[in-house]
Amino acid sequence: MSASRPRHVLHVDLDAFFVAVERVVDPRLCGRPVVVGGPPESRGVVAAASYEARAYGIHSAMPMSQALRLCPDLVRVSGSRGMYTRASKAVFSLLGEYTPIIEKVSVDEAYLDLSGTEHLFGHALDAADHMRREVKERLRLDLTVGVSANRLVSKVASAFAKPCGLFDVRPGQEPRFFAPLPVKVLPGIGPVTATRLRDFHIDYLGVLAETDRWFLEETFGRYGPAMQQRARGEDRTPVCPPWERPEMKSIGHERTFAEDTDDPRLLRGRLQKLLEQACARLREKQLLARTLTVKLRFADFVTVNRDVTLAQPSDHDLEWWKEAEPLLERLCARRALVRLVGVRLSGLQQGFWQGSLFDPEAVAARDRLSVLDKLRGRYGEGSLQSGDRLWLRGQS
Amino acid sequence: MAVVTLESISVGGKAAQFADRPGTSFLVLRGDPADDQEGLCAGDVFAVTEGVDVEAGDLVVWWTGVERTLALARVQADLSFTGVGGFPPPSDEQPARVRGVVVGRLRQFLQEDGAAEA
Repeated sequence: MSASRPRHVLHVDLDAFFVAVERVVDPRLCGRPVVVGGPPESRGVVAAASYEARAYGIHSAMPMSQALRLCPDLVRVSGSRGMYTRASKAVFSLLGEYTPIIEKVSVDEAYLDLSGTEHLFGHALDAADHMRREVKERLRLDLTVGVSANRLVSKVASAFAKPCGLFDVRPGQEPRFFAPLPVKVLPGIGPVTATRLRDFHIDYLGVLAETDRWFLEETFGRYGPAMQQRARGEDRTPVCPPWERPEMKSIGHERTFAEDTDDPRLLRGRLQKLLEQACARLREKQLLARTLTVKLRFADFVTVNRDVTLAQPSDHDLEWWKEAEPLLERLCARRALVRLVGVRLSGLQQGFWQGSLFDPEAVAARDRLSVLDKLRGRYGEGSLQSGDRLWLRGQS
Repeated sequence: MAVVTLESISVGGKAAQFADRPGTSFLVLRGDPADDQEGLCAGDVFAVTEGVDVEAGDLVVWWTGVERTLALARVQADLSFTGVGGFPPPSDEQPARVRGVVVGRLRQFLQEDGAAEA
């Protein structure tokens, strides 16, 4: 465990939210199998189902006609997005009284960081309990809460507490909590990965956590060790409130060549230029990126992507170029003519480069970069180019 | 002293996946737990993994040596045990025979008919 300040992260989820809101409006729906969704005659589907309806095997996205066949007594309501949005706002406004650090994932789901609020609300479990009761008393909606030291474990814990419950995983017990669980419960492990893991007799998270790292790396690439870390219940992803979350999810640029090419110099030059443009946009918007994806589309329209993730997010062309160049080399191993090259920077977060007191060279390089940004902003992007790519001007 | 007991219980829903493997179980707290720092409530369900490997700060389940009576205790920094929620602490007559470590606690809010609280 980290010796830093203990974190208390909650995952909150409103139970059968749309149906619950409909029941507040019309209490006669309580205790009956209810679905929200479009009419069967216009090929409507189930948007939400009450627990009573789920007992008949009805679930979201099921055709309404099929749902009605499964449960002839089913009550269907058309639903009102506006009403659900208002109810959601009311819930999150109430939760906002406990902490400003709320990351809303959807209309009925969010992460809350309660770290440091112990003196105000007591232990996170007590705060969660109080929160749940308050939502019930004031809004008549059921809230399920998972409590732990990180987002990942809280998300799994809340699924365990449904419906209308609270599951608290004790700090330091995350690996023990995860160990007996099937691999498929881990967010990010879909049916395909779960099947591949099962092929290697990795059925449980405890087994995944103990598997040799090199084996996972060989079999699943970079995702293997990351998956193993998560299987141990480790997750350092912060809860991002709206003001820390960028509006954009990624910044990308791509270029189709006038003629297909396999000229490595041209490919490198174009890629470097695209990367420069993408990084300039990052800096302009005061964003940092964590992941770079390099994309090549070949003459036969086969498209291949390779990505890399930095330990520390960056907005610096040269830092990213060090990563991009080897990716390009790997992609070019296909030895086919290239039609298009592209870059995408993702995993964006608000922030800007932090200078180091002990690295004056990095500070000077940074100053040069801001001068370049200013000049390009004023005189156009082509006004200043790196000398080794001047020859690109004549190329399309 | 408050009267509290721990009983084995089967839990439904997704939580049941935890106790599907050998060495894991759920125990429910019955009785009237004392109001202490642990904040235990009657009906709290503890997810427990069997084992004797404990660390300071762990909440552990120990066998009192009397029939099937289990109790909860907290492991202190010096690896001594203190009782929690009204459970008596281990003593010379009833030394702590650790059976497992509490990894989580489930609290559900159901009406007597099993439906969610109205």
